[in-house]
Amino acid sequence: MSDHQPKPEPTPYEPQVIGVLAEFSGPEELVAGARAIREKGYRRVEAFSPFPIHGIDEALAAPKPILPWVVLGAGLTGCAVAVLIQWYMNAYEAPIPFSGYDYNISGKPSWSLPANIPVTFELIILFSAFTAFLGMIAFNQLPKLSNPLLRNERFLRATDNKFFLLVEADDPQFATDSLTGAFQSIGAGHVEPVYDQPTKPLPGVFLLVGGVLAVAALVPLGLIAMSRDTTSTTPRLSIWWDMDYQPKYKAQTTIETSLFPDGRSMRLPVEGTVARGGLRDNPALYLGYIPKGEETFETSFRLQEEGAGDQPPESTEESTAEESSSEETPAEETTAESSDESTPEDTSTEDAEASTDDAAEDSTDESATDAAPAAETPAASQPDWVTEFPIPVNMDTMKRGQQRYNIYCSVCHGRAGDGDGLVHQRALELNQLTTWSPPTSIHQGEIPNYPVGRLYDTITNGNAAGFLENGGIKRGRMAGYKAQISVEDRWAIVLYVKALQKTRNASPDDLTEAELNSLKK
Amino acid sequence: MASGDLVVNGGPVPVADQRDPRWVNPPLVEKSQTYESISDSICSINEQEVQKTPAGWLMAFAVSSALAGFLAALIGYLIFTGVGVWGNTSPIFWAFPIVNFVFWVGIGHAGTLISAILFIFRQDWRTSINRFAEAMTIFAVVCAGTFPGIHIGRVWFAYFLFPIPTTHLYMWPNFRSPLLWDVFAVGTYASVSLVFWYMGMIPDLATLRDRAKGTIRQMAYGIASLGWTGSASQWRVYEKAYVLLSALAAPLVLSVHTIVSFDFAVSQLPGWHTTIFPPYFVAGAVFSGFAMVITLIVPCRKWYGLEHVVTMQHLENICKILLATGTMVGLAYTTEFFLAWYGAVPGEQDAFINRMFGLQWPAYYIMFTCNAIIPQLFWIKKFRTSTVLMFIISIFVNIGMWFERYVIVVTTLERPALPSSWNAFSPTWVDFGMLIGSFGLFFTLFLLFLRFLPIVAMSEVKGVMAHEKAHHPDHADH
Amino acid sequence: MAHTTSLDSWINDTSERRRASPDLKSSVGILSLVGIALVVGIFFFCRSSANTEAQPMFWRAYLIACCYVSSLSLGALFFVIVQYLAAARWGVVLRRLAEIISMGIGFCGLLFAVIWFGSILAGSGDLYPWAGSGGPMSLDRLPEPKQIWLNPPFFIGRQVFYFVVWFFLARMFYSRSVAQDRATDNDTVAPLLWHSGWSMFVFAMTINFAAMDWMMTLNPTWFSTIFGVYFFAGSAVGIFALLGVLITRLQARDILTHTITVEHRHDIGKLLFGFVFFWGYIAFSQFLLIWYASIPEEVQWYAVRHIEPTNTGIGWATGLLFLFHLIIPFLGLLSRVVRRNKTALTFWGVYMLVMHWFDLYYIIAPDAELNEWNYDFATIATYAGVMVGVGCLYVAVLLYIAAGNWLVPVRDPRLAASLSFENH
Repeated sequence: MSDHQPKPEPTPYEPQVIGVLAEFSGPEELVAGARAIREKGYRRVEAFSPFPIHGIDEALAAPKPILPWVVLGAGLTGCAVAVLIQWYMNAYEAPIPFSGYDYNISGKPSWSLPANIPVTFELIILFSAFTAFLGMIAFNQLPKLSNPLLRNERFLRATDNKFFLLVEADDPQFATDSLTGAFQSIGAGHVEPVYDQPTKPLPGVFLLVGGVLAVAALVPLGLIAMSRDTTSTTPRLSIWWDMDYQPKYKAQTTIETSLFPDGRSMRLPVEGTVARGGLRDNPALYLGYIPKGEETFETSFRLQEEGAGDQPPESTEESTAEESSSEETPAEETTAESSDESTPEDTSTEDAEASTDDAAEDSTDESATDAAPAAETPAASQPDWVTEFPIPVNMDTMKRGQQRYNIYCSVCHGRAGDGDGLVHQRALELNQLTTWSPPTSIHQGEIPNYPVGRLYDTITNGNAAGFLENGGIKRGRMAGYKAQISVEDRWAIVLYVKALQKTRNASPDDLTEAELNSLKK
Repeated sequence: MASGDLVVNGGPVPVADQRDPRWVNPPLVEKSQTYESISDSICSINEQEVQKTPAGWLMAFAVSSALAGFLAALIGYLIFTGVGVWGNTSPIFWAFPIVNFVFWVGIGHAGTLISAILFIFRQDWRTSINRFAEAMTIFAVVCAGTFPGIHIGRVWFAYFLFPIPTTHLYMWPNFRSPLLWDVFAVGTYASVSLVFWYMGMIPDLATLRDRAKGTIRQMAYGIASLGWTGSASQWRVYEKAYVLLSALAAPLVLSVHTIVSFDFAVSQLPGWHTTIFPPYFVAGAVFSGFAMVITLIVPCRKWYGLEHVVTMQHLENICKILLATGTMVGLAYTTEFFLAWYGAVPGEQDAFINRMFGLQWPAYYIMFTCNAIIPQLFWIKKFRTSTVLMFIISIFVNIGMWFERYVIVVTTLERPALPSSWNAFSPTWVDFGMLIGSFGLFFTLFLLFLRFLPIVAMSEVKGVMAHEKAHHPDHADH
Repeated sequence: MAHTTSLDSWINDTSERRRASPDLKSSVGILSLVGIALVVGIFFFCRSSANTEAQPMFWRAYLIACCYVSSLSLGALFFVIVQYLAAARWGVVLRRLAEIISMGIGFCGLLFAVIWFGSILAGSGDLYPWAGSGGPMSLDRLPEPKQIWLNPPFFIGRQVFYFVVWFFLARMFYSRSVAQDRATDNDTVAPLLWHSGWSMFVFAMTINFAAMDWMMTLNPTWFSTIFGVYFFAGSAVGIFALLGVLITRLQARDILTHTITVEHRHDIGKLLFGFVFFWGYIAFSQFLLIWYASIPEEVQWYAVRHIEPTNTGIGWATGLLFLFHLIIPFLGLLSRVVRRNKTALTFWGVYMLVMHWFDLYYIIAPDAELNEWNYDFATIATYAGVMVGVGCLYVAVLLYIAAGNWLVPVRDPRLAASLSFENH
């Protein structure tokens, strides 16, 4: 236990006494002996036993270990660390390296305390338990592999069945002879002084092997670090080849081999298949006219096709944003686009995503080939147009219709429906009259008398009818809007258009007293 | 109130015979033992010359290490072929691997429970079996950890489970997922159990070091015992640390199987989502762990002649714990059934009818018989005191507890909410091979422990001997 | 050691008081009169009140009080059975007190009979919504299993069965233990070592189902398999808190001052600490599973206990209960110094007894009161008054049972071991 190890010198080593060791026969005797030797004034007393002995700490007047406080601190640290990492990793994001990742999953908020308690609990235990263990090692100054006591043959029984007291040499009263006597007077068995022993240096081969191993252990780490920061032109290793290159066909592709006669990688749905949510069994709402009896199947299939194109292209928020942009920018947009024969809907959907544009084009093609029922039928065999609105008519719908109209229609037809929208004005300015087909005014001719179903059909499938009426000289250029505008919104636009038409010929009698009064103010 | 006057001294007291044998427990260590004989009998197991290793040990080791090698080969086959080699299929994505995981984690509960909870309750009889059970814990957790490790499919990405920062991935584990709680719980449990086991062994390793004859042994045990001398100041800190570790490990044991149960119970699947799961899983884990203790300790006690340390009283106490926990598990089965009926939620009711009469009905009856009914035999003293009978019952319990997890995992997954997704599970030879191989791994590690490490906590047994001598002089040999 | 007692010094100790005189019965009268006056007075006050919510509130307050005193007796019964089951030495000196408390279970049955006859059989949905007719949760509108299980005769018959079983168990342990005080050999109590095994099984089964019957059925659409364990955990907290307070109060009056040492109080403190943690574990498990899965028929229970329906966090009622019933006492009882200190143990005992009441309030009241928690004087007076009234009656019964008894099992064969017991 002495810390004064002399430097190795060429002279023969002089062992120094480090204490006097006394053997006792049992645990009670050891406690009594410890108490007695302390009563004799010795202070640097240490006891050794094969198992912990109740009462020895009081006999040696040992201080209480502070380990519990250290462990408590570790537990609190574990708690804080757990809470912090969970908050940082799951509920916090910042543009810094190793930023957290705030993502919503499993319907729980990013920072949801009940779900964080299990990990917090485990980390409290983990930190505390390791602190208790490492604290035990540290407070006991372990590992201490070289100890002169362990070279004493008799002392080796201290871990088996013998009990010892040791008075260390740095005790103020220490004197080998008087101490031996003192021990014997209190009933100790064998008493002997213990001597220091020269420490043998570790063989050099250990250091060499250890050093080489330590350096070798760094090599893989270095390789990993290097490979992370360099690039390579060789393809990466494919250990699990069949996992990287799996024999499979992707959806919506064709295949070279003759797996199927039509060369498609996936099968067409069985005829008559109705997609989930695609059964549109209300023609008044979806078509704007009531089909003839024999068309039933045909119609239902068309209804689906119609449905396929009629996803609202953007959410309400986006539409609102677009509303403002389309009010400000259409003039310069059309400059570029109308020069290469752009269609009006291209302008209005310029903000939409590419896929939506594709869908719009697809549906334009469809409407050209499919053709609205009005297209090929002379006026006499007009379809059975719907004359009543299939949606609720109220102020909310009207407002919605106004908003949609101003977004999608007013660029060509003008805010009041006179066919003088910004696109048209720009076309006139650019002197494009030879190619430009002016938008129709919604107030001209028979249009104010059109049944609502026919207006709906026009919005849905485009103004192919206009092409016939204009004698083939100028083509009706309005395309169908079913890809951009949802069914309900199209009806809302129809409602607004009807309202616009009515305003043209409205008289004060159409208004109530209150409305008149409010206008007079 | 004058209630003070209404309570009197009562006069002379007729005290009873304080040495009635019905109340005085037999000594935990046989009377004839001394400190030295304890060291001798335990250490001699480790001190056999390498050339004189018993043939029985060698044979057992050969068999179990061959099985462990088989497991390793199967894992290789799995990795290079894919998880299709298992019977796992849609929608039974958790099959044998998770069943085996829960089974082994459950077994891993007895060790720390004995060491920590029985230590806190001052059940001195734990000292003879705690080392043994702790070792069993560590090895069971090793087996358990193997299965989720290989179940993740791309084993080489297992580090995704841990919160390791990577600039390339820009992602972190989801701390709201019970599967991540599991990683932390099992990880903490494995490491804390290891520390607990090792710390308990330090004084005994010092004993082995001081008795060792050869240089290699001296060095190996010397390094492992860290220079322990058994001084009072070392014991003082050591005991404090041991109490703290016990106090920390006790709630940890509860938490581990609780969190394993959360893997199932936080879901919305009928048969998985039920609030009794946490305490029911813990009781089941203790049950299976103690059954495995019996399975291991009965033969070891015989072969190594440890009857003087692991007395019949120890075994009887374990049997009583088996009876208690088995009954608790049975009570939980009943409560679950009752509330499935009372709750009147059709999905829940169907799930339980499916357990009893569905495709996996044999598993259900095996589970119920082995876990809730067979342990009731321990009411009879003969079954608690016959090593052969208790060994047989413990085997039944091991089987029953494996099937309990099988019933929970497979029957529920076979019947998802959409009938078109229903499927039947059938395991493949690889499934069975890995289950058997995991036993090989377990026994390989356990046999190594028996051969090279002190299998009984000598210092603690000696402490109990001293305590009994001091407090029950009628037991003492002087 | 100075803080333990040896059997020899204990036998000759004439300074401490350890036997209740038969005159104790005389003090029971006033206490029971006060109790009856309080309960009956509040009942008629609520009945005559213009507020239609007053009478249901009385019944809830009464049910809380009944569950409260029953939980203490059941906790005591658990403690007694475990003493025999584990063949524990240390608790012998505390066992008689627990036995007397456990004998109160018979009286608890009578308290519950008031609910059976006054509320359920009277066809009133004031307390159990399924017992009345016409309401949205009346029995004929519930699914078939609930119609069977909550059918009033079956419901009450089951509870009668529970109380008969508990009274039988409590009486078996109590009467044999008391008979042992006068016996000449140990044969009277010896069979209890064996009986404790099946007793524990029967006890576990009955308390599990009784808890569900008393409290879970208040909302017949809700169910939780852990509920019985939750109630048991609360009962154990209650009995160890009560024992802690009881011991220190008795010792302040020179009763059992040498029999029960600091070591026993330390163990009571430890058990209280342990069961506070266990309660937290069970309560958290139930909460987490229901909160996480968020299935409507389950999460409704926490929704009215002020868990946001959108699962945005812990609501204050549940959160406060976790804080005051788990975290604060957990930290408070963590230290060994606290558990060995009389004043501290008394404080935490009283504190946990109060929190145990709030735990039951948290279970029983919110389903009916929904989100309108209203803390006017009448409400507080009703809840407190009924609890005090029932408490007075309960204490009177316990004093009546205790009268003439030794307060410690003087002829127990493990008495010496218990007296000299030491924590180490």
